[in-house]
Amino acid sequence: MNRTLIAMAFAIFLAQGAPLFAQDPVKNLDEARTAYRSGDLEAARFALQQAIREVDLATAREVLKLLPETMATMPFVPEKEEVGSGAMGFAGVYVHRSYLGESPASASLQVVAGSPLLAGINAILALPVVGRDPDNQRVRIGGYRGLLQRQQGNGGETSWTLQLPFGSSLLTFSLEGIDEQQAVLDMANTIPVEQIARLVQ
Amino acid sequence: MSRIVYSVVLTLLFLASDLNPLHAQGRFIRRLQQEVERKAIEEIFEKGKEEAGEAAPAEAYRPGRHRMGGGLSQEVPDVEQAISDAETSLGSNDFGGSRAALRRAVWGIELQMGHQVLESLPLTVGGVEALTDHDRVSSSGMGFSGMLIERVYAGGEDMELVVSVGNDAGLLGVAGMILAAEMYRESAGQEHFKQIRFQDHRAYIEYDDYEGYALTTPFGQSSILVIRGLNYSSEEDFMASAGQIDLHRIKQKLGIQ
Repeated sequence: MNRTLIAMAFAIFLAQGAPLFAQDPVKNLDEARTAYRSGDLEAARFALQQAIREVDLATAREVLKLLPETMATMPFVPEKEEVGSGAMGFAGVYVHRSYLGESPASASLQVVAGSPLLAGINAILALPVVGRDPDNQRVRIGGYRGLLQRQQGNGGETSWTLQLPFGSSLLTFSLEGIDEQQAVLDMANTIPVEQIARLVQ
Repeated sequence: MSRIVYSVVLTLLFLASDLNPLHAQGRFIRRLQQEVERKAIEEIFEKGKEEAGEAAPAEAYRPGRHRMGGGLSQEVPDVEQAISDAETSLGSNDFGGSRAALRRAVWGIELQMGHQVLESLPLTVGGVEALTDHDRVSSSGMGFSGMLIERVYAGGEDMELVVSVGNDAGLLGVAGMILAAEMYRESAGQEHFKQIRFQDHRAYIEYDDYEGYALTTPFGQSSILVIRGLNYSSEEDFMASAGQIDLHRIKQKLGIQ
């Protein structure tokens, strides 16, 4: 009887899918220290790179906590949340959150931090403005300069993209199905940019 | 002083008495005469300065021009300290500080790995000698650009051999793909490029009239060895020198199987 219960419990556990447990960065640091002391530099480096990845993931989870749970009347979609780390690649912290309102209104917020490739966006913003393009406007959100772009689809639907660089990080806020620019800016102003910047720098 | 003037006068008298009508000889005598005069003047004036206690100026002052300074002191990150700093920052939820400390630790380890590789390289290769003052290890502390190790050998008749090792760079993961593309280039009739085997690894060698020879060997998962040779008389000559760079030893030092 006991054996049957244990087998059933195990089967239920497997049926749900065994989760991938996050590693503990402190454990990685211990491994790195042990490997370094034994002269195994390659193993020490690998453990440290793993630790960087874990720290990035922890940072990304903290950023998620800071993000608004609703944008105007649009609640966020927990199933579509993403956090990631590109410690081995070009990017560092990666965070994505989606918001879904009454069709066709939707929004998404993305933060990519620690990327040396993104510093160039600042240079684009520093370029002098030639002429006035109503579809490409410079805006100021939470004390940070950004670029707001409006696109008009073939069916007349309007979409917006706000790019807000800070240091070597980039926050991108995309919206669809919202016509008023002021509504877009009001939503953007609820993003705690300064706190996010402080966390990811 | 009087001895110098005496020797100058004597030399001039000797030269004047022995003039030959031949033009070439005359030119030789004029040069000799000028040389003796120049030496005598230099010696007289230098002695005069020494006697007067006058130090020769090091260099004329020019505003805005940097003339002295010992550069920056070499700083090698303390790996154990950086790991401890990362732990402390983690404990106080300072993720940014922790990340910076971890990168510093990776940087310190990569510098040590790089120096181990440099120590494993020979001090002379063929007719060229290592310019160890120019040894270079650079690390970004992250995987995108990874670590770069470089040693320059020079000597002989303007011969130069530059050995570069790139390690743990995400960008280098595509080296194998590049090799595959280069195979096409080879079959397309390029005469300055060919694929070869170098110490049990697939590699390719290139020749350019201005840049000389270049041997590129990807190894491991994301590492590459590039050997460039200037002023080598032939491919065989260059390969004989390149063959003295032990790739298996480099791999061993980098912990690559």
